[in-house]
Amino acid sequence: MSGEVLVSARGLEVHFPTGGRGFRKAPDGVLRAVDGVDLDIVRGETLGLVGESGCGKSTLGNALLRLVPSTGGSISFGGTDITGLQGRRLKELRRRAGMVFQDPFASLDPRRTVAQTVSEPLEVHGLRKGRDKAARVAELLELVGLDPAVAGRYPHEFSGGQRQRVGIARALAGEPDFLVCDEAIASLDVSVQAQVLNLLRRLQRQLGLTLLFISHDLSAVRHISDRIAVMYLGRVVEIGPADAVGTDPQMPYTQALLSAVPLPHPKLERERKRIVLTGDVPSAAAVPSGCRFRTRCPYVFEPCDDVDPALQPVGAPGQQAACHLHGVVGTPATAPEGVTATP
Amino acid sequence: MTGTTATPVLEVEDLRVRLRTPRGPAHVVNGLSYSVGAGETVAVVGESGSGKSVSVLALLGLLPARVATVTGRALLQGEDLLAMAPERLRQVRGPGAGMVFQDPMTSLNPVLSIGRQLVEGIRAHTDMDKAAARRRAADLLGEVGLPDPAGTLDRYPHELSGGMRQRVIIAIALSNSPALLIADEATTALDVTVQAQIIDLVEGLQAERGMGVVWITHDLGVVAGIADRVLVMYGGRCVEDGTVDDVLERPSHPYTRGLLGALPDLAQPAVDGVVPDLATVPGVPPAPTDLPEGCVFWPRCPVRGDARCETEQPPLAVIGSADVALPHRAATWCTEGGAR
Amino acid sequence: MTGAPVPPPDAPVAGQGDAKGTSPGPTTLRPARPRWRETLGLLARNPTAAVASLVLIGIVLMTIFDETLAPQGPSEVSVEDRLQSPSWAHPFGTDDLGRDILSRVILGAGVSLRVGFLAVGIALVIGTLIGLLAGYYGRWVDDVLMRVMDMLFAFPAVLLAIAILAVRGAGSGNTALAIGIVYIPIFARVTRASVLGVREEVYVRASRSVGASDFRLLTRHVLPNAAPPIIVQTSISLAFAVLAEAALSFLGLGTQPPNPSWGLMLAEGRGFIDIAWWLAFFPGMAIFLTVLCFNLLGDGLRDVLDPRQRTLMAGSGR
Repeated sequence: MSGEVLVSARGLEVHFPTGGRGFRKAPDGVLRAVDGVDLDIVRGETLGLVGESGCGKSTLGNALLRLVPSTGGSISFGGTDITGLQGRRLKELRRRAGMVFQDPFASLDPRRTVAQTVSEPLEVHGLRKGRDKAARVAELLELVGLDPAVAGRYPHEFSGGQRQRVGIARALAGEPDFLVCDEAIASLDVSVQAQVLNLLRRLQRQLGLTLLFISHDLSAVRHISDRIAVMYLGRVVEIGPADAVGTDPQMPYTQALLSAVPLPHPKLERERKRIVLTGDVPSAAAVPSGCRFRTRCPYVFEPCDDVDPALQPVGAPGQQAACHLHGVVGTPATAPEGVTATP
Repeated sequence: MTGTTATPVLEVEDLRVRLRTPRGPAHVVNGLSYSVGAGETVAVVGESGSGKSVSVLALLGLLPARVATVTGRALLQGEDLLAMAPERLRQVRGPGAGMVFQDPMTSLNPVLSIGRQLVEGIRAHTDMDKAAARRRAADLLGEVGLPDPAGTLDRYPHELSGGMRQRVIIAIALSNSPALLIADEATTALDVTVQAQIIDLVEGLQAERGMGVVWITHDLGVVAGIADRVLVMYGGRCVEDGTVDDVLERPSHPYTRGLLGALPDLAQPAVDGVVPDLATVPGVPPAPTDLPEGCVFWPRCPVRGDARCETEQPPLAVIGSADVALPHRAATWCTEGGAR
Repeated sequence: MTGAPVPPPDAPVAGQGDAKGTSPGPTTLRPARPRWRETLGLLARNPTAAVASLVLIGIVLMTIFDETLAPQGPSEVSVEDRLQSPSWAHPFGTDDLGRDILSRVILGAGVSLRVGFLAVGIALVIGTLIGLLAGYYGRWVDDVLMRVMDMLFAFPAVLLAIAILAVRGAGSGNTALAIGIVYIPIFARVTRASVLGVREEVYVRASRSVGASDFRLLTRHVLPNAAPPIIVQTSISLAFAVLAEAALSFLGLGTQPPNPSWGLMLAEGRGFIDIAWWLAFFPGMAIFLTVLCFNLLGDGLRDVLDPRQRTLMAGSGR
């Protein structure tokens, strides 16, 4: 795994205007799905992105691939700024970066055969024609563990796990460098999840892929990732090597998240002390001032109200957490933008 | 098999459910037997198609009679649910057993306020007037931990978050103080932190009221945290049961072992710095219209340690000591170390 | 609190296990059947739709071979034979000019159907295109296009048709054009609604993620999946178009005499109802039968093409 950064985001924002009508009053009428994310994904690594519903992880994944327009900040891929990319260049990006979607039943066009679905990238980018195309489709199906003979079938004839493999084959057809797995195993049965996780790991090693593995399932993320990033309400609140974040989280939200994951070991379950968070996640249209986690944090104290914490190095090498418990660093609400309070 | 010496709240005996399908009869539940004592939590574990959900729907008479044939006995506090007249069954559903389903959004009527839905359930089983029922409803909402009980009564489901909705559903299930609570994948659709809250809530309420709880899930982690007893279902049968420690720490049936092995282990992902591949169970579960003759797991079993596996169905038999209150049982010809 | 739905028995699953060669077990995949063939098969199982389709095919064949089938020409006037009741020589009788009604009904079929198909063809092509663009691109494109459609839709259909015919003059061709224009909005709306749903489907997003152009997405993914309601609407609109042509001809604006047209024949036969019921009866029956069959076919198609109904139907007998 080289140290070269393949995908990078700086101050990335994805804001959606809200109508203002309805039950949730949006004070400034904006839903901050992704609210200022700095991220570097190193070539060849698997970065796990975890968080609960509404944290913006799916939106972030889609934004990195330019499938959802960003409203602020910048994204770069392979050293090139892709934030405003259009036309032919954007199409080239589509070949180099792909996505595996969550719902295996919805992500395949029910009126197209497996062969047609898997060969779509080849046709769109003019990569193979005729017999070569069919050969490549067969090759891809074998790569994901399916019998090439099923190429003429329709999606409804397959199980969820098999459809997901077809989706992976399609994503790999253009020989991409970067793959985003957006809750790729969430809709599958437990035993099938294991099969797909193994498959993704094998493919990554074999093809030298860079993976962004988005999931709410911490165990799966820990299993497959080299590094883990934790998101809450549109921000990355902790990031670091998988082991470090998994065993010694530095941010209270990560700690609570880990303690909430039920483990299949009755003895451990009885003995563990669970951090139970109070209340619900605030709406992304009404993000709390200062630290956005302060409304539920068991360790909330003075600076949390006012200063929006920035990621700072803490814990193991490469680990960062956005929490004032390690020193007050960030953007105060009362100070002009960009001024950092003295730690 | 009883876990406690007192009369069990629920006693299921040889439950079988056959569904009529265009493809022929589907044997969705095949001979399920278990009991739930007061204050006890029994977890029924299985993947999709194992029959776990259908089994509880059958218990409460929620399967359409046209297509479902249900046999066996299910004694709720001594009365057989499956032999009840429809009118009696309706009376029993609130106060006898409360049910919580998976999807909080579709379990609540989107056009009725929370208050109305609660009051409807309360007034169906008691003769309280509207005002008294409303007060009771507000009390219940407080009990399930909702921050503004009186205000919530007038809100609509879409105004609440998933966790809050699930709490409302639990309140509805508890509104007539049932002796038994059935939760079918009640936390699957919720975030993990919210799941922890709901599990805590149910455990607390159970301790307070001495209810029996049947918790259906595919998540073995949840099972480890909440269950006293576990039943593993596959192909409509119980393939293993026992205390939660027995089944999860010393799994005996190859399917249970496969299921546990397929879980990424958050507690110990790496062995000597290397994350091993997850052990998988290849293939897919059998279709209920086409069950194998012998052991129901035989087509996918990596062990196959006995000649009888293919042709003879193994009975649920005791493994280990038979003297304990709750013996560990498995339906397999092959235990650890080969054939029995 | 509603009960949870009964989980359906396992859907037929491909025999291969999730990893090649690791699953023992003899189950094999059903032979692959392209969707349209399956559609026809399912349709055949619905008795009313099946019968309706056969009748329509019969009518279409009749139209194609009209000249051969009709015992006499449409304008063979024979004064001695006028107003003869149905007999072996003239199974449908003769009209007030001695023309054989059977022949005129057969030949009139051609007129009615041609106008019907032409009108629906115009509405289908233009309406679908408008609906596709409005539904897919949304925002101002949607606003502009659909407001125009709304204006068109707001006119009472017959009045609009009359207005168009007043401008362009009477006759079958212009009738088809008038009816076609009147039906454009309904096709636009149906298409737009369908496209709005399909546009959000994950597989559309997936194809976009792979680099597909808008054109490719529209033609290969959106339109095929949005088609079912449009197909149903086509069948139903054919029924209405035939009826509309009859109405306009009845009013004297559509097909002009001496060309046979069911509507025209109805109009001409109206005055003779008490003495010669057959003049109006047979063309009327023809209109009724054709419209009925198009409607039944449309209903049958609607059931078959609705994905949920279809799974229920497709599951049986396999």
